[in-house]
Amino acid sequence: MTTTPNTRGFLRLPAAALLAVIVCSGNARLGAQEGGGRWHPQVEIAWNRYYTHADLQGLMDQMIERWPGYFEVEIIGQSWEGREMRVYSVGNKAKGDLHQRPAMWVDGNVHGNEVQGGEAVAYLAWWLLEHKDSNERARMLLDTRTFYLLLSQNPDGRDHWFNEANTASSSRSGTKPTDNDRDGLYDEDDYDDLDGDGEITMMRKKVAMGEGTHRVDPDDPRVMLRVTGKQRGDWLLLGREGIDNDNDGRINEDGKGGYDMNRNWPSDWQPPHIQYGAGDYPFSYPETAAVGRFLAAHPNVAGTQSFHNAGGMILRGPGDDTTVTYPAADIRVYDALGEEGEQMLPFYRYMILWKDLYRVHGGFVNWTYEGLGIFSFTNELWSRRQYFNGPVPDSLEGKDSTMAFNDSVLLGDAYIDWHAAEHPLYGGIEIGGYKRQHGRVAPSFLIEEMIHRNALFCARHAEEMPRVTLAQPTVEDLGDGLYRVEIVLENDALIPSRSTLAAQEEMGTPDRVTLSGAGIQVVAGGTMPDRFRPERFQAVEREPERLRLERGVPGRGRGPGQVHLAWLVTGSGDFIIRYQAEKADDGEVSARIE
Amino acid sequence: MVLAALFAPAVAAQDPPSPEGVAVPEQDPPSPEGVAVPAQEPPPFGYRNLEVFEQSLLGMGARELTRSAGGRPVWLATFGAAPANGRPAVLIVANLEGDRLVASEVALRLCQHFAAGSALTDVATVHVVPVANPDAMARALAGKAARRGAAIDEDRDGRNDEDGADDLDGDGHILQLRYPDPLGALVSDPVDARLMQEADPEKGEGGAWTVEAEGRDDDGDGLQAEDDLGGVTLEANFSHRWRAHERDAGSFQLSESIPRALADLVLNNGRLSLVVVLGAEDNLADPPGGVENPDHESTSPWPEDAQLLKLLGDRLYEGDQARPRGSDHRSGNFADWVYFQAGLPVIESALWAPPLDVEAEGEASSDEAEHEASDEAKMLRWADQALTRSFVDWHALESGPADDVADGREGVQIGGWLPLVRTNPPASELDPLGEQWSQFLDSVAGDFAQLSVPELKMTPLGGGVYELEATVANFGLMATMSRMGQATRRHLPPQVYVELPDGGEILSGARVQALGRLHGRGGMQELRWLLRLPADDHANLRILSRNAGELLLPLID
Repeated sequence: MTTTPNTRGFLRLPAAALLAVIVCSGNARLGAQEGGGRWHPQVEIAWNRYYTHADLQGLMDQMIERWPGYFEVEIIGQSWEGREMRVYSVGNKAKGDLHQRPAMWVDGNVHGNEVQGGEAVAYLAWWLLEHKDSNERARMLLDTRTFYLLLSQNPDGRDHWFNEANTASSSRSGTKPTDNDRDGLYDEDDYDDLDGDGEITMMRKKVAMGEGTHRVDPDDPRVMLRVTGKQRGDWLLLGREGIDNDNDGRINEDGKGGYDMNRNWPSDWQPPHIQYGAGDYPFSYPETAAVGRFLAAHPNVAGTQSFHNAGGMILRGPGDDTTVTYPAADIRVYDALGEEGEQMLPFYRYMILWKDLYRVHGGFVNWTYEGLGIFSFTNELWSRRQYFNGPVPDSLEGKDSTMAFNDSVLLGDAYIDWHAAEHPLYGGIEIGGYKRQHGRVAPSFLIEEMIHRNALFCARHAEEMPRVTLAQPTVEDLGDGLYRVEIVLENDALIPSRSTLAAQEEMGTPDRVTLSGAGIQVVAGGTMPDRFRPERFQAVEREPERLRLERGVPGRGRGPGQVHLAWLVTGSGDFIIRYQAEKADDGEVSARIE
Repeated sequence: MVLAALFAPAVAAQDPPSPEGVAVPEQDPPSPEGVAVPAQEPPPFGYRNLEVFEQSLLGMGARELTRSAGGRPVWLATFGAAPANGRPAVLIVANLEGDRLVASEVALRLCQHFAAGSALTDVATVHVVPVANPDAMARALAGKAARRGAAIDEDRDGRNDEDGADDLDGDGHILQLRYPDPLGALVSDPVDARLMQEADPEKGEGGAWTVEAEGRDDDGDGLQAEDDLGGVTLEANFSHRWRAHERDAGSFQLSESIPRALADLVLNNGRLSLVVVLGAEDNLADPPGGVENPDHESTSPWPEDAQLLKLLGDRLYEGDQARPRGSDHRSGNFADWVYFQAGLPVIESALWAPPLDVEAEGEASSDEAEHEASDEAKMLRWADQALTRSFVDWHALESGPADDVADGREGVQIGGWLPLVRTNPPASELDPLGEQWSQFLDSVAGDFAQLSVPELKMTPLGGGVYELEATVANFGLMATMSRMGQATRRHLPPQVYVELPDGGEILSGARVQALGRLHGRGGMQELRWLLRLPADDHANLRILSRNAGELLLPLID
């Protein structure tokens, strides 16, 4: 471990320099893989497209076949429709048990339509493994951390989005039938692909001038404008493609599923009449229950990322300002990571859910931090600001950026022009609008950049998970057979071994440090808050040989991340000091009193 | 045994109270008729054990609802006609606490009442869970603190349940341990020196005693009985006002098998009109006031729903009749979840409480005359007279374990209340309670919402067009849904359908529409349609509801 990178000060590097560091750091071991600047991946994967759940798992199978020493696969459950949910534990198994190391949980796509998170999850494993022989930091991550990867929290919704006609925003839910309109029938009035083109777009109807709510944009006949003031309209905008399937006078009011699994987690969970889509109770869906069971069984998870789309955000909790206050020390950690993320992810903003976006009760990353004490982010992948990497060019002025991008960069590929159709209620109508792949997911040629930056943000998050080392203890003879043994525990990562919130709320098990030796009797033990003033020794009341560190070992930030411990002992001989922690590697050192 | 179990009280008299080993004094049990005797054995004497409950319930066709953390089955018995549209259902859940044996006993008596046929089962399907927390009940019957749900690490030392209470004096009960302590927080109660109460520094009192659970320091960490067997309190594990990080509330809402099974039972039964919770809390003896728009932290119902509780409470308790005293709302309890999240009417009863109005025997001592007796002292006064044993006098440990627990302390004593006597009546009171509750719940049979159509008018307007006017009313005492249920939107409201023949059409009005909430005793909603019907043809108005009846009304003969 002599090549452990010094990441201090890293946060201040601009993003471009950061990427340069990553690429160059492997030069000393440059192999055939990148010889001559050419790029020869060991597993060829097209990262310019999106995959169904089964195809995504197929990509993982290819990686497992190529790098079997770096994967464990656990089936954690099945989705509502029976799709297998696999957690891939990624790390160098030759370096020890993958489940006894700090781990980074990364998932995607809890909202079925927010597909690109799945590709980002797979890409994270792929990039690290492709670079493990040429990039020291990639190798270190695989040797010392574990990545728990779940491609999709909602594989049914994902596949439904691909396989059935949908909009960019539909199929957000899982597919358990739900009576959204409270008529005793389930999912009986979904969208209808009236023109059979595989997309759900908009319906409009031409009416006499003055009878409409909308008019056509004089600058772009595809664009509908709501009439205001004294304007008169000659079009009715009739919503998404659909008919009144259940003859109740409403259209598209009870589609497939109809709930939100990212409101089904314990922290500040509220019932559906307060929080839409929350489900019967936390973990009431098979998908969330499977994830919950896994995380409860793996307290070594020290970082969480849950990919969503869209808007270009790096989100953290809380979801509501009235339920929990994040301690200042934890906010400093969040800020450091979030601000680095803003550098890595152009057009993304580091934001607080309730304050900068909206209120959420029962969100996933709220639970992983507020319930489990894990520093957790949700990235909202893809921003429309990326269409032109800035404002719309002057030559396209007057168009909105979405349409301008469609017209110029995609030659109109994202948009279906209005065309005539028959509707059983409205008669002759027109149908048209954006395809589902436009707006919330990146176009094909920008997918790889999007998932690379987001995946590597997870890698940076994982690098900053706790890394605690034990210095060699010192022994001071206090006379008359009494000795003081001192030791310094140091964490050179940003993230403490226990978050301050975890300490405040007494989550999980505190870190423990034991001193034992056959000929040694422990008289007292405790912390040394001031290394220069041994008289400020804070001795514990009970079990001095087994110290509990509720606050763990702090991370670097305001000074080094250190804890000083001391014991007063009698006797002589060898002794061992052991450190155990849920979210940091265990360690031990031995010494001797002559 | 199965046949005999149909007559559980007789079996109880023959069987030892508990396989877990409660010592039973050699004395005649209370008679099956439940005649009170001047001084009675304290509970659990005369109470049935889990095996008797199980055999009785199996004999009544109970099915397994779920299993406890300890692997015991939780039985659900169902009575009355099979569930059907329009037919209300009632759920009765007893003794989620485990040590409220009286609740289980009354619930089993209710089962026997329903099995024999009753006014309630004539109109409703009735589901009963008489022993909702069998692990804790087994512990309570064995004289120990109630075991609850899954194990938790109370003292956060990385070990579960490693330092439980210990029966140091071998008397079959976990009591309390006290020792003189000039730094202690407690002093003797001036009215009854056996009782301990907090010293009041404002009155110049200094503490003299420390009291702990009866036990020793099994894990050598300097604390006694700090990590007992079991952990999660089932009555804290539901999702209304659930408290994250409160150690016995569970790792998440409904983390325990029994609360989750009860929640599923309630949420998946759209016909439930009433849930009855027998246990520690009570909303009939002293019904709560109502508040408008109760929020997600509220424990007060809507005024409309509070009114129903008052009506029912007044029916159950007449005048100055003795009433139980319920505990405060435990955050995360079942009944509050039923009301605030599932949106159903819920009644709670603690069933019984020790009388506080028993006169002292003989002349009052000077201390008694000088000080007002605390409620606990009044309870002890009652218990001394009513029970053969209720409070174990403080006594020194004679040998053996005394050294274990003394830890250098002088004068360690063991004593205190027998665990069950303050929450469970003598067995002779069980039959009268069962009878009272059988009658009370039978009276509820006439209270359910019942839809009717007092006005129905078809007026021909000419050209085959008719004006249809209907008034749908609810003359039951209960509303078609609670006011909270209206807010939670968890339950399907009654639906009104116009059924037309071929060629008929609705010119105005909806083919199907949901009724709003109709309050009790005459809540009404007027509906109107314009219909066009082929000559001499039939049409119907159909009203479907979960639990307030179904109606099919022909519109033209």
